Amino acid sequence: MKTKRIILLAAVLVLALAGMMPALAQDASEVTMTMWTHDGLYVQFFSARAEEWQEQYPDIDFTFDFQVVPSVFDVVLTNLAAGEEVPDLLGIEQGAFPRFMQNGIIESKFLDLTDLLADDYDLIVKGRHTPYTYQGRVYGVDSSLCAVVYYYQPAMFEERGLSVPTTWDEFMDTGAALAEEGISLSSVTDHGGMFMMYLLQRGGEVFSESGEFVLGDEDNRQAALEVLGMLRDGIENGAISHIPSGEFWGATPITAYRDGRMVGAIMPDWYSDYILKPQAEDMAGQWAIAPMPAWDDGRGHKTSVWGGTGFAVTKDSPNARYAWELLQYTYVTLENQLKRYEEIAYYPTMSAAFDNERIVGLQDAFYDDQKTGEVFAELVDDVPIWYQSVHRAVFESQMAAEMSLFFNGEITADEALDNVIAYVEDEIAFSM
Amino acid sequence: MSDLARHRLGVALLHIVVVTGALLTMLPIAWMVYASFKTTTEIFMFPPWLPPAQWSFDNYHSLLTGWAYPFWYINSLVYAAIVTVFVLFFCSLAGFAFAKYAFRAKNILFVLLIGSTMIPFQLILIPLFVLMSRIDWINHPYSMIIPWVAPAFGIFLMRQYIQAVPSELMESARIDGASEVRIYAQIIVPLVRPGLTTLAILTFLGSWNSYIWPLMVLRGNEVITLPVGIATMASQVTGSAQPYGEMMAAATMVSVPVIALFVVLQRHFIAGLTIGAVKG
Repeated sequence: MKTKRIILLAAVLVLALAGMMPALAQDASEVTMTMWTHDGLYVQFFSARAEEWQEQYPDIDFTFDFQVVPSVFDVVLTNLAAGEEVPDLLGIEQGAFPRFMQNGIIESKFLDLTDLLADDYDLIVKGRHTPYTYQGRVYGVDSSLCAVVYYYQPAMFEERGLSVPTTWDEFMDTGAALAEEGISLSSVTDHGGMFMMYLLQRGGEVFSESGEFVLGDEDNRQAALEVLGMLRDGIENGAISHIPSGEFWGATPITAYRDGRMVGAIMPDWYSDYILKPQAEDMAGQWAIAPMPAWDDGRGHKTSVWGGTGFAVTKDSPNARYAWELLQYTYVTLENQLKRYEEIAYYPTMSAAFDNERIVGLQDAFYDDQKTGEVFAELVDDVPIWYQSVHRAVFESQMAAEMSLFFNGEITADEALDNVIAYVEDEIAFSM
Repeated sequence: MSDLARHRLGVALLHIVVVTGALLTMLPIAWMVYASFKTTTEIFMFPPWLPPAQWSFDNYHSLLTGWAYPFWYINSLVYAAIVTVFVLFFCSLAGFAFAKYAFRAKNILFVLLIGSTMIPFQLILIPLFVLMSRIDWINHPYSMIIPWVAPAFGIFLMRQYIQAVPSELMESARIDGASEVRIYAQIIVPLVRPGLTTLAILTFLGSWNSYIWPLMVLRGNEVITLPVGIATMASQVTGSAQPYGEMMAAATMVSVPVIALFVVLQRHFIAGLTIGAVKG
């Protein structure tokens, strides 16, 4: 009898254990998250953050398939047109974002992040939201501040007893003095984005918040004329070198820096790690950063902005919730904004990050141990706000063509602007 | 000036023009190979002929070990080879039919065929992609091969070559009991070898250099082809700098099969290009 009881008890225990087994050994549900973007550094950074983020879901077995895809906007648009699935997360360069604003694609295919961002919206510099805003709703989170500074070689000023110009008037005077030795202070090229960079600093805008083309409005036109006039004066007195667009990103400016024929460049933060450091690594320690020259009448901004990559979430993705959470963790937390700078050198878009020693205390050997973050900390709250439009590509392409003629002295600033405005307005009318 | 002197002057001028043209053509290729042994900073040094501080195969080593380059290379080779074989087969067959057979609506079909060559690829990109999507061929090797096995230009080219083959040869073969397949295989194909060589080189080059289509239909680092892979390298930065040295090494290695193919088939290719240029 006793033996029977023991056997029965053992059987019950075995059954009970067996009953528990499914709960213990239950297969974790599997989720594959996908991402396409054009820059391997984003893949690297998101992959690292994803490994941390997934720990909050111990029951889910995540696989992260993050890929670098060249011309990612073309590939995404083609897939959307064909009704193919696109990845959960998409990193799209800001210049291509307007292509998704055409015919309301952005509304139907991308997740509206406005309410999801909620209070976090105000933590990020507003000018980094607007490039990904369509009809007042936000569809992307930016990857970098893209604020503009002056990269220069301090020794070239010090040897001549000159100081770094802080205003455009000083810039012209210093430039004129150096031009006598065949040295220019910076360069300009025929690029619509570069024109926008200077225009935004002056307080002008090309497109309004509602996406209308407003370059022809009185204030904007005046600002554009002043910018073109300033650039032309600089070219004429030798302060600014005009470099054709085909040479601007290559050896021409780098050789000029190295030969002491050009002091530096007025460019966004990414110029440092994408162009300057890799192409002129032998000049490490010879560089410094300062705010770009301000307008003497005080109008406009202390800095400008050019570039960026917005990360969007695919609306129809079954993993949209996880994709947003990962994006939020990776890009909208202070800690990871700091890590982003430390790991892949993209400046934070949160103002608060510039109070942190990990940004403002970091010394950069390329800039002779300068704490470069301090310069950006001065500028972060004055990054201009600007807006996108589906017509931006038309504007930039025509502006580049007119800039070339203008810089070569073939047309006046008024003619250049008239031509651009007429061309873009024609295109807009044609597309209606 | 005597006729001989004039002739020599003409020959000398001709040589100057040809050699200058050759040098101008070779210069970017030589720079590419030269730059593949330099660091990024050295590549951007001026003048561009400055030698590297240290000649090294580091770019080639990191290209082959740090990237999926061997996969890209094999993928490109396999696709280009398969497409070339299929194109030669189908285009020569279709060209044979258009050149030597009479059938209903032949001329209309031929006009449609020629007309289709006027449609730019960009125009059919989306519809073709949609079609591939509907039949579930996205990221499938079929999408890299099947749409490209019978290009209209190839059919036209083969028709022109096959038209030059005397029909009497075919008739003799028929009298001797040869089947149509045998006529194709044993008479037509050997006689149009220069045309097939030309088509092979053009097709191989087209497939080898193809960028937009593989970019659209292939997914994954190890399944893409060379042009897409190299474009990825321009984006996928190691550290922060674009790997120009490795990209130059990649481009150098890309050009090897193309040059090899041309050297091997050069005799046939030139014969193919000049056939019909003089009247015998």
